[in-house]
Amino acid sequence: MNDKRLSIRLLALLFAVLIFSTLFLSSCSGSNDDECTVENLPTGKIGCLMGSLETVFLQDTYPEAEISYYNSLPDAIVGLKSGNVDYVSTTETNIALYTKRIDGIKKLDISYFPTQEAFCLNKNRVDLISQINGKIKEYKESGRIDEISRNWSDCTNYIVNEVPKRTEGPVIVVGTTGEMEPINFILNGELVGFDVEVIGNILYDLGYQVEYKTMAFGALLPAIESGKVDIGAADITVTEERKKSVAFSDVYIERCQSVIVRDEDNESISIAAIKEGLKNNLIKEARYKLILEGLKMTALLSVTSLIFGTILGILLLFMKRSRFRLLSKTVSVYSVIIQGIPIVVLLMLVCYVFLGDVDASDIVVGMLTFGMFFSTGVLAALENGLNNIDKGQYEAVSALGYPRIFGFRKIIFPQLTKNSLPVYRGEIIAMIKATAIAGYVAIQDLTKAGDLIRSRTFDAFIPIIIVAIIYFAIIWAITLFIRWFEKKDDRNRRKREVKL
Amino acid sequence: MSMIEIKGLKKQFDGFEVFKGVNANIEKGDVIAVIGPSGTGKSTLLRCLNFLEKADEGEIWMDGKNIFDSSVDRAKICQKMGMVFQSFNLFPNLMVVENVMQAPIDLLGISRKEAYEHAMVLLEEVGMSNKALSFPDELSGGQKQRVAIARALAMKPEILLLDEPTSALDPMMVGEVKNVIARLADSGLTMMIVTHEMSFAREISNRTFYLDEGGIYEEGPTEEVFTNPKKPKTKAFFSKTKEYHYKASDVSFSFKTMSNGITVFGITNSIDAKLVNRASLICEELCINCILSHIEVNPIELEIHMAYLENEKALRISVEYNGNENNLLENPKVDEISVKIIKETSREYSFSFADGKNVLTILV
Ligand SMILES: Nc1ncnc2c1ncn2[C@@H]1O[C@H](COP(=O)(O)OP(=O)(O)O)[C@@H](O)[C@H]1O
Ligand SMILES: [Mg+2]
Repeated sequence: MNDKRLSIRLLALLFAVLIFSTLFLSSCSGSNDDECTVENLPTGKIGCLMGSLETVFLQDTYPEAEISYYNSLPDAIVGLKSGNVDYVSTTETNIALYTKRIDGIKKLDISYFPTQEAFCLNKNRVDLISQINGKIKEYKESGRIDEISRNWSDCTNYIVNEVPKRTEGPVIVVGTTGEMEPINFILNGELVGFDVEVIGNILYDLGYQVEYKTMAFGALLPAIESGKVDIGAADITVTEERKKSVAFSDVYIERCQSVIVRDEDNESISIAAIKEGLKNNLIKEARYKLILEGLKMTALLSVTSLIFGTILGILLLFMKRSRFRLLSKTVSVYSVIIQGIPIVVLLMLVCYVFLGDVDASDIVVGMLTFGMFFSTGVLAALENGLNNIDKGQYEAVSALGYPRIFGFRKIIFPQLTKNSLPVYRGEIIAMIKATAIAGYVAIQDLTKAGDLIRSRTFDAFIPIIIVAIIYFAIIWAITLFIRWFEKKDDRNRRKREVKL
Repeated sequence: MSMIEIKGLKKQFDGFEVFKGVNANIEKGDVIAVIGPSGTGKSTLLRCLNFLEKADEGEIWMDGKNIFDSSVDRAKICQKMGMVFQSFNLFPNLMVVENVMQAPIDLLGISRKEAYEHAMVLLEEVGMSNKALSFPDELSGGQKQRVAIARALAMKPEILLLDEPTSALDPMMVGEVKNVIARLADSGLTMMIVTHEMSFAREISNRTFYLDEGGIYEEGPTEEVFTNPKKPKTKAFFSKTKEYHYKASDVSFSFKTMSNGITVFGITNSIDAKLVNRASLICEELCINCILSHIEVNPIELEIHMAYLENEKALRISVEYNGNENNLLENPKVDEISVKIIKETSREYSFSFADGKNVLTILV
């Protein structure tokens, strides 16, 4: 154990010295006048932001470390509070905020590993980089960066300045997480924060229109690489590794890392606390609006995927049953592929690979992904329905003198719809549940709305429970609706009236 | 010119040759009974006619055209041949009348109203007009089959193919379907019917195809084939159908084999189902006492012969067994209830003993 600690210490020291010496750093702007020094890391499971620098640092200096990766710091803190990890490593800026906002956690008096934050750009945007660098230099020299930093330093009383916006000029898409208070986050339904104010002003000065996209931190770099996002502004630390895939602007701020742990003396659960929690999670800052908007997005995704997937599924069935081997083989391969990859991966493939160069809206990305996912379910439902149709039915159709396809359409297909409904119902529900991952590529659906709220309130349970209840209600309602429809359909079929 | 001419028809399934070259003519107005042991290709013959099976070789001529020619519209040929299946194959999502009217609307291009009226006439003919608005799953087997016949007739076929139309039916329902078919035969409609009911076949058909050995083994006017079959297998087939034999011994006895055998015997001879059930019951009671529960030290082997006496509409069961004189119906060791059942279900019974051979004759 001592050996391990020693080697960690040595390696960490070495790493730090390297950075210090190469970057000519003297102090860390975020932390008074103390120098950033490397201290022992406590033992235990570490929670880190996925793709963040600490991850790489810890992996290099502390290979035995058990690291849990989180998509956002609020998630990590939720993980900390629920005991999934023993401490969370992050910047001191974050820690100042989080310890003040959340009961039951505290900062450890450790300060280590200085980092430099810069904007990320696609390597092809050299022009933009030099423009931005010019502005960063100007802001630093004029003290504007420090001023903006001060605006966001007191988390009990932010000074929110309206960032000027242009309505014409070329559009720049800025990618950020929206979950990193006070650097970039949602306040009263608006994306604000230190990074947002800096990059917003810079781009305004440069004459650009700005469009923000929020996504998981881990999805940011791929989005920049694929060109979906022009600039990443999310407290991104400069590293050699990242430089391989994206370009960095000049450094606009420097930060230090520290860790937070559970503060067992300071935890409370009571009815009043729950009441307060509900109010905090729903009413304050009109957070229910996020839920409503997320619900709208989830509904929209579900309905478009339902329609697209059903049409595609029927098409697949005809292709699979066609006499052309190539067509039916294609369908088999398609089904295996769609069912063989996790839906999250499919979503990323659609978003970053298939539509990487296309400026597709969230709905299109979601509809394609979940529609394709659903189409294989529709195909399975239809095939199940077909298998339940007796061979004698086909023989009767043929013997009556129906041509093959005409007979299928006239006699077999109407039987199919009824036979397929039970499986179809299950597939619809599976698809709606699958849409919950849409947030991974910055689609703000219901689940994502819950994440956003959690990122503001740091409440592990209430947003999740609210979201769970809403999903349950939707699915329950849909189940009831389809049952009702089945019954009504059955009654319609049994109407005993001959249309003449 | 014949209505349908089959020339050199060959068909095999996975190397098993069902037809080695079938030749046959079907004339307009013929009612042809297709009979023979099971697995000899009776169904396959009908199914080759309307393309439900693909013939390997040969020609079938109809209206001056070989229907296997690629230029022939197969759907049109099928429309001229109605088919009635053993398992009805009604469309479950359609009402009875819709089952009958759908194909004419879709394929003959007549109006819904006209199709409906025609369907109602046909349903009236098969005695199903009062069920016009029912769904197939609300009908008995016999009713379903009558609707299926009406459905086939709705396309105004030139020939009706029936593949064991009564085999899947409860014995009680067979009569109503046979009546409908018999009336159709009288009306002059050309038909080919596969059936195991020999007396029914004899009653309605003018020609009989006996299938065996990879083709039509013997063919001729029904009366001739039935009363005076010429070839050995045909002779054997008819003699076997007239009597039922079962040897019930300790080792080989199986209730199922016996009662199935009696049921089939009943069907081939179109014997009243009630009669057959009674005979079956008597045989079972005797076997229970003699074989399963040993009334003697050793089980008694029974030889059961059953014959149908057409004139008296009665079944004669004679049971033979060896040993000392032993009238099972008087033997106190035989279960009382069994004896009572046998005596009450039979019309007459007698017993004789000679040369160590007991013969118990029961008339049902
Ligand atoms: N689809 C099939 N595949 C393989 N063998 C078949 C098929 N249909 C029928 N056969 C075989 O062909 C023979 C004739 O069948 P079938 O025409 O149904 O006889 P039948 O109607 O006289 O009882 C049987 O031996 C049967 O096993
Ligand atoms: Mg058959």
